[in-house]
Amino acid sequence: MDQTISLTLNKSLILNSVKNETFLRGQVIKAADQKLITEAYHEQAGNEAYQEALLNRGLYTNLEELKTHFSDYLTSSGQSTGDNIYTDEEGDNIIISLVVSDRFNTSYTTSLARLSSKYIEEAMLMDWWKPINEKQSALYAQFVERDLQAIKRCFNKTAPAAPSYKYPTMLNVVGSAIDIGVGEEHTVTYEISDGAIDDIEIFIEDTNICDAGRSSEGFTVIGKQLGHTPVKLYSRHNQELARAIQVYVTDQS
Amino acid sequence: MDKLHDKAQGGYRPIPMKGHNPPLPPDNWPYHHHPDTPHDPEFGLKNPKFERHIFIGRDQIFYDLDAQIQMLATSRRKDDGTEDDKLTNATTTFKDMFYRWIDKHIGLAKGKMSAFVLERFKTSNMNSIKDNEEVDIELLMPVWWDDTTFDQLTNAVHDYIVNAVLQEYFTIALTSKDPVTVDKASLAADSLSDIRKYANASKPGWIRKPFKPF
Repeated sequence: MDQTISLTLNKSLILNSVKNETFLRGQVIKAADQKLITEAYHEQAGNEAYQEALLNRGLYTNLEELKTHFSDYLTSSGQSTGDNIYTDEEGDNIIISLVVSDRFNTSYTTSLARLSSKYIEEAMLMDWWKPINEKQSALYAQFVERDLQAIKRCFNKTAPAAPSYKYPTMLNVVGSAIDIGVGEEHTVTYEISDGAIDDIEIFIEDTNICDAGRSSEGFTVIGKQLGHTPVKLYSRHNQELARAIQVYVTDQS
Repeated sequence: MDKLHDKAQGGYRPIPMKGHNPPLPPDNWPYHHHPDTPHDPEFGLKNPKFERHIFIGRDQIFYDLDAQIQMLATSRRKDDGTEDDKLTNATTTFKDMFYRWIDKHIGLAKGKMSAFVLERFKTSNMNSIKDNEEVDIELLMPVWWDDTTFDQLTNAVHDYIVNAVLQEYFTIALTSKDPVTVDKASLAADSLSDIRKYANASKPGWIRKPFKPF
């Protein structure tokens, strides 16, 4: 059995962290040398249109890249057309639904959301510094690799649950002897352990004396001929779980 | 010749009489067609006194498969802590393939006991995946069969199915040259010969077949 987990990634939070990191970097450059004030300005991601467009592109492409790493866990959405236009249709939150094994350790659901966010942030920074600062970009490429490893580690499965024995372990037959006439019916009822699959069957030692059939409450025993026979109710999966009752077919008149 | 001796020899009489000492049936004669089978006129072939059922629960098989694949994945964890991708999700992603393998190997295990299997009469068959929860192997065991091996027989059938299915899976996931695949193959072969051994175990001191005429 599979289970679905959904990861919600807040877009503005990701953009904000990227902007914060580039801002800090710019501030350090400025502090080191006041003459580098223009360089610092261009390294800091801000609200200008071309910068916003670049950041958005980084956000969406890296999101898709992350999805490819989840390919074993993504179910087909039935979408048959795709384009490269980024729309804000989903609002501020990006939701990724993953179908994982029931043995997935759900403690990692939050970790996966946070690590996914971190992966996208660092991949965005790698993209941001690609045209500006090659060395810085290479540094972030290493961080991205590390994030990916951490994400993969979240998919370690827990041990499988031991299967249960679904059949009765307890059987109580109501009454120990029945007395019926020829052609007369009597219903033998029984109790089994709670929630168990009913696999109780009946065995008549001497089928000349009586006959039995299934009914909704238990087994219906019909007298055929005067006499006595033991009748055994037993579990189909466990012959040892058996209770015997005595059937006496007597002249009732 | 006293009566007891007569019985112990399975009906053999030293002085041939009409209707006695029939020629031995061919070796591959199914037991329920064998003249020695203690047929009960009340039940016909389905004599509950000699009928045995081996129930194979799929969840029990799947637990073994899951646990063993997980154990192997854990033991082959890489240095960075990630598990071997090849071994991670197989039993959930390819559950139906595993069903097919389980069916196949239940059939092969039955084949080893074919002399005793009470197969329902069928006029049609289909190669579809059968995903029923439980498979009931119905057997009509001979009077000379040693009942004390019933547990071992059940375990041997279970072990055979698990090892053979794992061998099929590891052949694809780890290649046939991997030591684990080789081990599973030899374990499966061992279990298969165990099935034969336990299904044919006779009661100590029991004379299994009528003596051949001198």
